[in-house]
Amino acid sequence: MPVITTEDGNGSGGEQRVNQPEDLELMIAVQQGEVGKMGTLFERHHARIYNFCHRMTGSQAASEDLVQEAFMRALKYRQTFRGDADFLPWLYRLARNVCNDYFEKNQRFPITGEDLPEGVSPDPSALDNAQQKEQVCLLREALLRLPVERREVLILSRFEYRHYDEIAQLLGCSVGAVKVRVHRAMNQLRETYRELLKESES
Amino acid sequence: MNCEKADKLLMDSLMGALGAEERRDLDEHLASCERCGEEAAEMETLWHELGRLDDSRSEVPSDRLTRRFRLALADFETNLHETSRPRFSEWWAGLWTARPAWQAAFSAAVLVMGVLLGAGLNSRQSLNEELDELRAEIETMSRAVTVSLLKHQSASERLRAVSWSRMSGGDDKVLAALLDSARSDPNVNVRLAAVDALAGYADQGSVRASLMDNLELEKSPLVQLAVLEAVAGDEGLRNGELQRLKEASEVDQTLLDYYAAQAESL
Repeated sequence: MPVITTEDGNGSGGEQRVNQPEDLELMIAVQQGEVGKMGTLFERHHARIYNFCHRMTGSQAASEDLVQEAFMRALKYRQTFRGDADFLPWLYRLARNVCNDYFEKNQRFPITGEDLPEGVSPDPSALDNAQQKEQVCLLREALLRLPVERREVLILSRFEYRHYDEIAQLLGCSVGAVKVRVHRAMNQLRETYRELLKESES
Repeated sequence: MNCEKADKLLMDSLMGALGAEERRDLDEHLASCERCGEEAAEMETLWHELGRLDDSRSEVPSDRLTRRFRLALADFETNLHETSRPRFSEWWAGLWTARPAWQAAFSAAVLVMGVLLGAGLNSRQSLNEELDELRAEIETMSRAVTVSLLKHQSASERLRAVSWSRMSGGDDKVLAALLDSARSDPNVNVRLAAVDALAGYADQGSVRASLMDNLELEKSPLVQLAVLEAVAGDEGLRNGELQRLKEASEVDQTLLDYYAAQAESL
């Protein structure tokens, strides 16, 4: 019998909730002209946004540009932030838009495993053997092969440690819709991963 | 619990979104259903493998990213402060764009002023032009009336035409018509009036010559006297003119004697 392990999946979420009032204060200060306070918000959240962009694009260099662009948009469109909403979902929406613009501009689909720079390839010492290493590469490629919307929802639910309701707020849809999307994305990932495994075996 | 329900709950389970009761139900189903159990195991593995993708990569973006953003933020701040202290032209431009009502009012005022000014100028100009045109038309009409009236059957109408001719100025056609009347009008009074009207133009060579020619044909001493008075004026007759008149038998001898005496005294 398989043991279904469950995880809170929101390790950083609890910490975030404590910080949120402060995020809000900082962002309101930014809106009122103290734009320098965006520096603090950057310090606090840029790694998160960077990881999101990195997972979405698979490219380190592109992700750094995208993070920069996302925070610059946060400055430029600071007046569109509503004081009654949370800061992080708003920032994520900007990052999503930046990523979508990147995909539109670059036409081709996000780069595949072969394009990954050496710096982000799995560290061999952390893996048990060559087979496991290959499996990680294939899974990464399978993830990058998913359509943008499915990859996005999967990244948000698996890596960003978010609850359904948080993802729903971020994507602007219902919790039910998020559940359906995550379910479909996982099924497609499994299929793609299986195909890649078969290809590599043959 | 059926397989479909279990499939739905599987994702919730991985997401940690299951209540204790639901999880117990799911575990029971997965234990009893081989197919669902296998599928759940595969999904769980995939889910954890997905998590390990993160473990194996460097999570921290480079310092370059932070430095770049700091620079961009400083730039943004500088630009913001520069633009927040506007120069007069910018302030003016801002005021201009910020008050559409003022813009509209000002534009309307300028438009109305322009229309009024333009209408005023145009009307004054066109009034003068119209007056000139009217004047010219009246002159043309009076000339035409004069010329045609001078040929009228009734002597009184011809007399009226002569008095009209004074209004139409020294037009060539009118003068020619007057000279014609002065020479050949059957009525003495009309001839007299015509000569009287021509007296003002007697210094013009052609009018003077025509009047002198008339004397050779004119039989009425009254008209002869009027012509001689018109031609001679205060300066008397010119050389040769008196000699010419003496040869023309028609002119009254008393008049000739009078003008001869006048020429001698001058």
